[in-house]
Amino acid sequence: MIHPLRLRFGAALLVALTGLLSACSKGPDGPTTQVQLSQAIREAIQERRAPKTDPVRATRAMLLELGNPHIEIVVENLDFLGYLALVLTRSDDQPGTITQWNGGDGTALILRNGMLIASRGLGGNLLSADVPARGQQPGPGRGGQRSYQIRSGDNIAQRLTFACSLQDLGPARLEIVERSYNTRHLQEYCETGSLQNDPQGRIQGETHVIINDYWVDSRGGEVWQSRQWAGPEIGYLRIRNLTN
Amino acid sequence: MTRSISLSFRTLLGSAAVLMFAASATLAWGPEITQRVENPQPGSPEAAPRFKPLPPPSLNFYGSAGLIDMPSSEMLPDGQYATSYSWFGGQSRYNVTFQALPWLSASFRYNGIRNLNLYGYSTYYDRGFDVRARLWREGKYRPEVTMGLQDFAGTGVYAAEYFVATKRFQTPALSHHSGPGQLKVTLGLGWGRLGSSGAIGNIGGQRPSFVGGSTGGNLSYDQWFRGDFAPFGGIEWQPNERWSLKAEYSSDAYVTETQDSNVFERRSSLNFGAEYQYSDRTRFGAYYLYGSEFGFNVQFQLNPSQPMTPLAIPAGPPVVPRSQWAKTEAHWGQGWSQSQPQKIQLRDQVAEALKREGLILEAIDLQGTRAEVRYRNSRYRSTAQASGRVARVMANTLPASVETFHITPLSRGVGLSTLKLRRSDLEALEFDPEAADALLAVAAVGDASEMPATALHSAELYPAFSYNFAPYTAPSYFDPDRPFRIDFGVDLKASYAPAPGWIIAGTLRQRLAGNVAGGRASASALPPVRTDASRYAQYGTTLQNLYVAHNWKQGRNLYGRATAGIFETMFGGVSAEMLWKPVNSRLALGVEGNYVIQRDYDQRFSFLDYKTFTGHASAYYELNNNYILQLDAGRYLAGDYGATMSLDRVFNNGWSVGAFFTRTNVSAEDFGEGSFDKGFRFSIPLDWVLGKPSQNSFGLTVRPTQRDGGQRVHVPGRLYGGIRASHRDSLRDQRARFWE
Repeated sequence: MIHPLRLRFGAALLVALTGLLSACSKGPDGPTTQVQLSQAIREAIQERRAPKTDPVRATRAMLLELGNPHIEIVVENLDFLGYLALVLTRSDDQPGTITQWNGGDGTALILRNGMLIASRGLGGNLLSADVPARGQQPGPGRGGQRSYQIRSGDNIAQRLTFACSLQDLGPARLEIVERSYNTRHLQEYCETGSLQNDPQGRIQGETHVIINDYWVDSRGGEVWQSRQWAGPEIGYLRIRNLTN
Repeated sequence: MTRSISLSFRTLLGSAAVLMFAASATLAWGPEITQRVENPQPGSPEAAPRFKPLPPPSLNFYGSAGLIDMPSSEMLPDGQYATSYSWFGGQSRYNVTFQALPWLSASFRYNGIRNLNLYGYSTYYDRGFDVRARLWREGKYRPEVTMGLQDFAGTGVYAAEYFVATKRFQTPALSHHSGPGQLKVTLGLGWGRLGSSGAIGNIGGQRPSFVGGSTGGNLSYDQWFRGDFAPFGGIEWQPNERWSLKAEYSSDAYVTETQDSNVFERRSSLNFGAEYQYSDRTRFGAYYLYGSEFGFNVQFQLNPSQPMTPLAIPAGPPVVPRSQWAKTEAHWGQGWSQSQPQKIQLRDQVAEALKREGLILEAIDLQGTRAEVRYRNSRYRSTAQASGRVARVMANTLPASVETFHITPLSRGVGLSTLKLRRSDLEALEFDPEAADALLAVAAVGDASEMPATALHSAELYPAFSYNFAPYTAPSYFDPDRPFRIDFGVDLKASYAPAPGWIIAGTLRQRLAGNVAGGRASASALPPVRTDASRYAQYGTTLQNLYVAHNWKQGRNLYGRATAGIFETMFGGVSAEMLWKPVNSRLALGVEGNYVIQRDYDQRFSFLDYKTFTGHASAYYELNNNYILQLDAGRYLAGDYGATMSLDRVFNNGWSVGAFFTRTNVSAEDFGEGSFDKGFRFSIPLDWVLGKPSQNSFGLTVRPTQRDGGQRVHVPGRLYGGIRASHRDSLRDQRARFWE
């Protein structure tokens, strides 16, 4: 037999759980810890319940109808596919042309001559990067030093510096969403030169390697496809340029 | 004396080893753990740099890095927050260890010894603190050496001191797939408990012994490194990342447990165990101890710089340089600044754009070439991040002639600091290779100025009403009859802001279930200002607080607060505080005075007879490595005079871990158990757990014993914390967030 006290305790627990799921707030003060926690739990439940849908694959007809340029990104670590639209083209004191691409979910990637220089809206963002841009030439223009500033868990920028060599791996023919391009495959092979700012000395003594690949239009102008490293948290991104 | 290993144990060890290797070769039980990959493919994520550390050193039964019952010299990664629970032979230990500095760690322990039948308890519960300091690091031939003081200030049931050395060696890989293993060899010399078995010498003769049931709590330095000393040691072999085998020789005779009482039988000095790294944070161990007992250890380690979910915040609008859109002379004119309707239109545009970033515009002052935005932030923890969003909004909304941006965060209607930026810097540096450092170099942080008379206030912000309805939990600890008690129910919190700087707020609580009401009754030589907690826990529907507060700025660097009403469950009254905190200073000074009346136990609107004045003068200083030192001196709730010292490490991401103690003119006898008030506290930010922006945290203040001496009243809205977060040092530490 269930003890009546235990029954009452169980009922109260049930009420409390219901309370947790019905927690709510309103007004400029913002939600309290418990309200935010219960919102997060509700969202997690909804996410689990939601039917799994395959992401929509872009077709050339869709891209032509949208008009403005898009890129397709795949986050390899998460097996995540998304489409980002061009929101800004500009230049600054550094060489190269900057393009910012935003997704509907708050994700943004910023490229300089097609090379990744920042990410936004992802965990462990690439804050900024020094890339080997040369004039308006797409992709890397030289080997040598490269550096990344990556936000780590305690809200600090961790600097990672690499020594890179640039290789031309020859011509390659690409097909991207019903269009084919003649490209050259450029590869940056980068090794860690120095790792600063590592509070626990835990990467010391290890050499690390990253490889960035770019497929650059043979006649210049665009990087049609690339696979680039975006930091320890995000990992490698595969980017395809869907510009019409 | 060592006896041979019994047959059953040999079988056990044998089968454990077989099981272990079968398991390590085929299945890995649990989530993936971070590990070193041998010869990774270039271009794979494994070959790239990682920030996630390898699993930390394992913990011993006392919650410090170590073997089984014995410590090793290892230190945990800096900032590590390790909790563990170990059990053997009716003895349980809950441990919390904080790696305060790379070479210094501190632990708190709550332990229970079943069937001790001494000092008037059948199960003896005790609390203790440890501290460990690394004397030198491991070298090529030299071992790492650490000095430890165990249970150095409690009633001293576990008191011991030791020097311990550990050297690590690489062992060959077991298979082609796995990397090399690791062998750690540990040797130490212990005093006190760790010198009680197999002693080889003596320093200073008889060690002063601890008196069970005394008030304890004071540093027992007259005992340290005195009396017999004995060697201890052992090995830990990690064939791969998941498993480890441990064997040790213990120098702890367990005199109290096995000779004075009969908790378990100690038949051997040798202990053995196997441990499994379940995930990066969790580790389990099973052991056979002292030739007679089985035991287990569950370890859970967190590191503030390794968030559970990395914080992801939707991108803000990009800064569009004026060169792209302000191409004609007309764009650069200042005529708009003479037109009130145009300024009002701009104000509404800025307010609308800020709202999309989760911020509230309080006021805007628009001049021809200069603009100031005063805003409220209830979304982002980091003021630097909020300022970055405001700067983006200003750059994309204001006319081209505005070149100087002043960005002022407000809290409770009071301006906390002003960040001064040039718009051209903002346009030039957004995609700079060193964007965060470059912007910091050209930005200035100053005292928040008076609101100019020409400022336009946001319409319809006041009066403002907010509410929150959510469940709560209220735990209570360390009652010898039942060490953990908890109440839960729902809270309704509401606030009303009639004008900037004014707030009326209250919290109504309905308990649904719990057992805190059954706690121990008070027995105190002092006025029962805190020990009557169980009498306060008898009621279901209570008013937690109800007060009116006013915040203002008294002038340059000087902030004020006045609060009246019901402050907390036990006290209400009037309170006033002044804080001096220059924007660019590490030092802050404050004074606070409160006249309080103790509330009736039912926590409605009636009061008891006890009235008192309590108040303090405080000094706050920001040390390096994110440490904040606070000193308070004054009169406490029970009418005692004294001072409190607290030291907290506040991480950039909002994690905080700290400790405090208070000495007052109350004698140890009058104070009771523990001799004086002390404890530790921690706070874990919600955004660190969820990966979404939040200003909330959850945490706990743990006192080994809650007594009445050295207690302060909890007044809502104390000034220092919120003001510091918007000042220069904090903005500098958070600069990485500005552009995110």
